[in-house]
Amino acid sequence: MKLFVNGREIEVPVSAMQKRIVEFLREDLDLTGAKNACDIGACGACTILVNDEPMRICIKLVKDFASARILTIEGLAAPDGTLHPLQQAFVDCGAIQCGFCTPGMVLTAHAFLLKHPRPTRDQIRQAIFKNLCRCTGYQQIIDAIEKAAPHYQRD
Amino acid sequence: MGGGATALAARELKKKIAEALCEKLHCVADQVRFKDNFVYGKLDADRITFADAMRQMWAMQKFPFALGVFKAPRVSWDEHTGQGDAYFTWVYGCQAVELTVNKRTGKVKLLNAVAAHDVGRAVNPEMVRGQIYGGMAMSAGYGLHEEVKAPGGKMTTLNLNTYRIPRSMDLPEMKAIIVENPDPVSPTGAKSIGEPANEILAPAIANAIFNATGVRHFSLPIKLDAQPEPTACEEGCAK
Repeated sequence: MKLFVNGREIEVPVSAMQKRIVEFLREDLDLTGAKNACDIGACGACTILVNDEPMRICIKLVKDFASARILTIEGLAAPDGTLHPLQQAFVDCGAIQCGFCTPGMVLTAHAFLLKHPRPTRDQIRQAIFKNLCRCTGYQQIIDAIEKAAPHYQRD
Repeated sequence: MGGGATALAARELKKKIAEALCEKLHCVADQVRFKDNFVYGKLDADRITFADAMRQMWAMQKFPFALGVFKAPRVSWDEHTGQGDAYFTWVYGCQAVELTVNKRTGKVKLLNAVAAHDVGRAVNPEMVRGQIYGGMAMSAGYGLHEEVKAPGGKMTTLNLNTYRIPRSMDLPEMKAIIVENPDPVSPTGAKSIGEPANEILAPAIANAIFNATGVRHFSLPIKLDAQPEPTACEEGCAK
């Protein structure tokens, strides 16, 4: 079975097929951005993008992702380490405190902005509804997503 | 107080770094400056990154550590008479909230919230605002939703599906106003903000609910009873 993670083709050994995907990413591929927090799909800290759609993966197995295109937070920045404009906006707006929700939050926002490059603040609020954050009150996260939106506008 | 000790230690540390590196920066220790992650000599051209400075100190086997001790000033509080100053620093803050109560469902919707806090000196304003927003969110959470249930001593609130912390849609647009009133006792002028921001939105919510319904609530989270009262003019005379 094959996985496509951050543009890289990964051959999955049969022994790993029954592993949970979040553990496979973290332990086998050393991609620790996705966090396993609540373990029941309630908090959104494990969110990654699967074929450009945000998905909570803590309850899913590796075998559910055959041939899927996966983007984790590690794949969002440029190869030279330059932050994606959305990540930079998170830094600039103070949208990060403890950082535990941040990878899931950024990826959820990324998928949202790809589809809705001119969002209202209310739409942004709705878009991140499923991602819990304990530190920020979401205010600066919404500021950051709003600030990054022009980078997604094509015209 | 921890901040006080840290600031004093940092000052000592700067001295140590300046003494270790001034020769390499072509100046004397007093002329070494620290700015934006760089260590500067007398001239702007003589500069190295902070990371580089640490590497050079390591190479010289000079270790960047320092000790800071901050002793709390005496207070005049008298336990017997209940008089005097109980603390040496006072943090002032005020938060206000606007909300609606749906009388039929008992649901409370927050519309607007604003906070003003005397933080002494805002060392990192964006982070101060973050602490204020986060504090307000937590306060709204324990004011309206968050509750650990343990019937018969057995905990049933075990995860985030049953312990309901605020989601983005539960919170209103918030405004944070920073009031700078440097604290003479603190080496940086800063006071604190984590706890003050956390404490006072729930009482504001309780007061707003009283203003909306005329009922006082004395325990948190506030639970409003759903009231089935379909009346003839419900649509026309809402509010």
